[in-house]
Amino acid sequence: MKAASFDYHRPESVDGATRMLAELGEDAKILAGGQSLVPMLALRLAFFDHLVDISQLDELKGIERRGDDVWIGAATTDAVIGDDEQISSAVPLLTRATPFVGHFQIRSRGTLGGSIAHADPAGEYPAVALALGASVEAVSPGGRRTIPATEFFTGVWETALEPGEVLTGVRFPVWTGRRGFAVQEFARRHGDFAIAGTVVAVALDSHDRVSRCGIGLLGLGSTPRRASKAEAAVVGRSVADLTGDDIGELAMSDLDDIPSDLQGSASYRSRVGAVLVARAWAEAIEEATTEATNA
Amino acid sequence: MTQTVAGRYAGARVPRVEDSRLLTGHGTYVDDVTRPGMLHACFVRSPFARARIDGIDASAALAFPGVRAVFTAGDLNPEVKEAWHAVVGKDVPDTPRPPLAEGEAKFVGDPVALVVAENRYIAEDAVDLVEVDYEPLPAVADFTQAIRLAADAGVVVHEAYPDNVAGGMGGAPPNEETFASAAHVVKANVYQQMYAPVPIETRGLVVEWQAASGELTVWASTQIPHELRAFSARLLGIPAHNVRVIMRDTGGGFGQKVVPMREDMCILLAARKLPTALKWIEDRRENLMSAGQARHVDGTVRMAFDEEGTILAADIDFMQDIGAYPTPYPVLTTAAIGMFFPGPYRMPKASFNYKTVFTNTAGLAAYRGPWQYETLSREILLDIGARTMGMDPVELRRGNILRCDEMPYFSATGMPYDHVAPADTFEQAVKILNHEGFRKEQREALAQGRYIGLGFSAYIEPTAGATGNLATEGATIRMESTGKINVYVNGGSTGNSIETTVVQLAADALGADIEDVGTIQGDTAVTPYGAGAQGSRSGPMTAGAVSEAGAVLRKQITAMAAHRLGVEESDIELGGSNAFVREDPSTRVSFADIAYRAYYEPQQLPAGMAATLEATARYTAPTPFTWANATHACTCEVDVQTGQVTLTRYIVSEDVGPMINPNVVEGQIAGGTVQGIGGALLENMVYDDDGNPLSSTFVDYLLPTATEVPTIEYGHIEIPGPGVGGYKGVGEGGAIGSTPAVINAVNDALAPLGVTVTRLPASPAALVDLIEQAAK
Amino acid sequence: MEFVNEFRVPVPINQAWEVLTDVERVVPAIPGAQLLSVDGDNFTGTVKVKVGPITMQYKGNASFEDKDSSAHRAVIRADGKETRGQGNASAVVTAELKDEGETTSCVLTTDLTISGKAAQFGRGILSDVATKLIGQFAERLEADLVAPPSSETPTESPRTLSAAPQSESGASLDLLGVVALPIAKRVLPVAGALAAGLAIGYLLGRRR
Repeated sequence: MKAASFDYHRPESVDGATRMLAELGEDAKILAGGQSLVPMLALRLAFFDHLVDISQLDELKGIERRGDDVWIGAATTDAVIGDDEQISSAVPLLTRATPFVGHFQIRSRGTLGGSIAHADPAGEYPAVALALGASVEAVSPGGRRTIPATEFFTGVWETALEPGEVLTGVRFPVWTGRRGFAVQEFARRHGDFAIAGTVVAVALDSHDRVSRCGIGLLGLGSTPRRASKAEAAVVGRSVADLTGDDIGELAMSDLDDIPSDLQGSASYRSRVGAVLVARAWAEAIEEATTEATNA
Repeated sequence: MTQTVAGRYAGARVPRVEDSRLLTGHGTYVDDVTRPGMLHACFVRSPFARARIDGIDASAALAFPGVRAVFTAGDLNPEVKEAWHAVVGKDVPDTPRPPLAEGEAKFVGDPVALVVAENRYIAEDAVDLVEVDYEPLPAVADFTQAIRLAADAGVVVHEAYPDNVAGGMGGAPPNEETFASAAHVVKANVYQQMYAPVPIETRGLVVEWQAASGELTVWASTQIPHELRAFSARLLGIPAHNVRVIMRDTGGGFGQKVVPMREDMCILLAARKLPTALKWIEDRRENLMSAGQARHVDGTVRMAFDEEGTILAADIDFMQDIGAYPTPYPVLTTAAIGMFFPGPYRMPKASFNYKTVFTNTAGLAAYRGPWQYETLSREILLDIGARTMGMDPVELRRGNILRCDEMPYFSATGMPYDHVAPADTFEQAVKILNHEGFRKEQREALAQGRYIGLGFSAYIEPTAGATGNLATEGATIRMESTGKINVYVNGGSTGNSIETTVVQLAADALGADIEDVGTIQGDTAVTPYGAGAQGSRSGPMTAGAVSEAGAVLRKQITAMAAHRLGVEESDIELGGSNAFVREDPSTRVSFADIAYRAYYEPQQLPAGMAATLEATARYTAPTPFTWANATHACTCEVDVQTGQVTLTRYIVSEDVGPMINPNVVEGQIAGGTVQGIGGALLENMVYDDDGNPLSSTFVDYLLPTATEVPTIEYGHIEIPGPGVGGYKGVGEGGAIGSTPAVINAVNDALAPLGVTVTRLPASPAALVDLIEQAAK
Repeated sequence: MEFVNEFRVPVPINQAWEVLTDVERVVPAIPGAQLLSVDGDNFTGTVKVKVGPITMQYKGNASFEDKDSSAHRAVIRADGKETRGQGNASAVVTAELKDEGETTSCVLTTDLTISGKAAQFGRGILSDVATKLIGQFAERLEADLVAPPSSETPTESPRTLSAAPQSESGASLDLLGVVALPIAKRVLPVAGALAAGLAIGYLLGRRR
């Protein structure tokens, strides 16, 4: 399993990277942590004449509060994100999803930007971005733009990024008030690709009614999905009137492209997905109801 | 039989002598070997499960810079002189095994051509350039359909076997009267999936042919250096004394490296056509797809009981998938399943019948307890029987398991069990588990809607089987000119700690300090012939060889010391690398001094005393088998929503006789046990309907990791075997008893839901499916 | 592996049949497909399929095995080989038209066999790609039949097309993010099915 030969480039800046990508065209690929790309190269499933390494660019690193969001640079590693205190209090869903991302060795090289841009349907970070309504920032020789997560994931390993566009960072909204978060994932072994998973964010008003809800699903479609129907059904309702099982069923109900493969059929995944949503819901509600109001 | 000397080291948890080099990254594996100008090999492999090969165009590959050669079947296959294997012998006709595919590719991954280049990167580039003209043909992917496909559709794997049956065997037919009249009869169809040995180090070979001297040197990842040498010599038609096989460290074999296979043959043949050494290192995908697979049996088992649950008779009727290119000779090796089926139980009647069938998949390789299916099917059936009769599976086993005082016991299939006490290992397991306590815990859990269960599995295992070239083991022990001791045995250690155990035994045999003892293994130029590490033989056999050679060397040392110290030989004791007078230990001479005199001042020895301080002996196994036994017990919890199984406790109560090194024994058991757990829950070599292997990487082929396995608890019972020191073999047992213990635990947990798993692996999706079916 | 797709076109059956079966009037319009030569009912071409970082290029041939104009049933066999040695794909596509007066419905049954690296993974990355892909093809066919572009002058066969007419010739088929370029979209049904088949072969949801 040796990759086919390629030229390695390390531009000095993001602008340099975008210029280089424009020049090299479709035979070039961005390299960040390499945790998804390099196995594909080694297996000779993917071939690129040029790899453009952006993993060391300082412009792409960092964790900053920007208004109501936390901005995270694309080249920030999963390990850094998982350990960061600011993220832990402002975007707990990221912190709690991180231990599910592969193994710690992978997390010390894998990056947030890479995970979002690679858009694996079973990826944890894409599901968090979707559930929280994050915004993806990208740069090309033509300029900068921001793409909402809800428009970003277009298919398996396919995103709204144009060829040659560099994902520079992701802004995650900070939820305030009485919030609860939970991540539930089911895999054959610790660290394996999820068979099904969910990330749940919920906020309650002072009367224990759901004021806001984000349910992200992973491994249950060709992209991460939002359980919009389930979200709509719970907003405004009292927590006491809601059961996790119902929400789980509802979350599965409008999924139309659940994968069927060696690890399980679509119906099995759907069953597991419903259970996980139910469990995550219970966990998130427990946190939200017991938590004092948070700024 | 020679007695071992009571020793300081045997029985002790001596740290492994292999570890300091291996754990610091200084092992010498075959990929660490580099030779001047060495070239690298990569195989072109068939993407089809079955296809006619109409032509191979290597011109583009040959034109690629850095490519030195492309070999096809026409180049290599005719060069084979003899290709028989010791395990079968030269007179038994074997199944087809051409080095490169000839005319037809017979499985996905079948080596069709061999590219040789300056490095592996270039070789892989060139493999993509070799144009093979394939005409795809219908393939046999499902072994349960192999006979039907041959009969109805003419889909045949090997022309010489037009019904796709390699062979079969049956003992005496089942006693149907017993089954008809018994108070209880249970029957189950047990399907075991295909899975594979998966050594951490894949296969590999470096072969260097020196035409000028007619010498062949082979560095190999192997379990059998001497037989690899003999095979290589036969293959190429060169004298064995011109062939040298060197292995230092090998990262796991488990049976996959116990026979040189087709790729090895190709490298050996190709190396003779090249001016420099040729290296082939298999990658993981190749290992999973083509190094040989195991288990894959479908069978029906029946057992008849009387009113009290006493076993009256058992029958097994099964089919084993041997793929396209099994290791030799599959029909014979499969017979073991039938022969060992009665297990460690009192069973007046037992019968078996089986067929082995070809499919367009890689091929059956030996794998740690290759007959494991007998224990798997029997133990699952016993639990089914227990539940049917309203008995606890522990009670059922207790009533039927063989006791020490019943030895020797001839099983219904003629196996002469002896030197075991299965009832003792069983009761020890029950005790360690706290069976009654668990049943209470289980009732409480069920009341809370949780499903926990326990599973037992007992087996008896033939170790150190004395068939053919496995029946003897040689050892040379030498006191070097410095007084240090060197032990030469054939080796083949792939993680079995043979270096450590041999050093312990030799130190004891000679009264040496363990720091003064070393071992040289795995180099055929300097070690005596041995059949290698297979069949759980290395422990007992090297113990015997070291004991016999040691006794001779001991006498030499004693004689020299006695003369030196002016006492009788019977007054001399050896210990701490010294020879001393028993009654007056301060009167002593060190091994170093004894050696110095013998090597540098031999004139000082008495007239007529040879200056010899080395001995070679060949030990013959005293019995056809050395029986070992264990009971495995396992508890688990099943999440009935997701089907996930979590193992909560795992106990192995074993008897491998006295232990040379408890660390080594426990390590062997743990390794095998984890492999068996993998076979129960995770590992699955899946082929789709077209014969494409789906589990070709570790993303899909799932090995248990540290997070899936609980800490393994051990109970040791030491019933001496017939050989030297009473040592028995331990290599394979862990992998035999574990799979059924896990399945039985799952079945015990899910019994309240009416679920019985008889189709492996017990994956979460499979369990959920069974739970849903049972609920209807 | 078998896939069944249905679509409807707003033209009468004979017109639909003509378009579907007349190779000489059709040029590759599926993005990523390139026709290389036509010889009666046989033709050769390449298809480039891209899924994320993975690109597969298949080169192969296809032919009409059966053309029953009275039953409005055609069977096309396509065989392609991945140019980098990644394997093979072959498909047998049966197209059946049903007369509905002013409209015609078309049922495509694709029987696909995949080999090579593409087929050696168990992770069903794209269980819905086949449906989407053929669905896309069906949309294009439908669009094409609604507003067919001007026909090309037929030339004698066999011929080799040295350059495909569209600006995106040789571009990959980006399965799920097709950019709407203003091009004349003539559909090559068989190349489409070939592309579908070969793409599926790479992307693979296993039939379980």
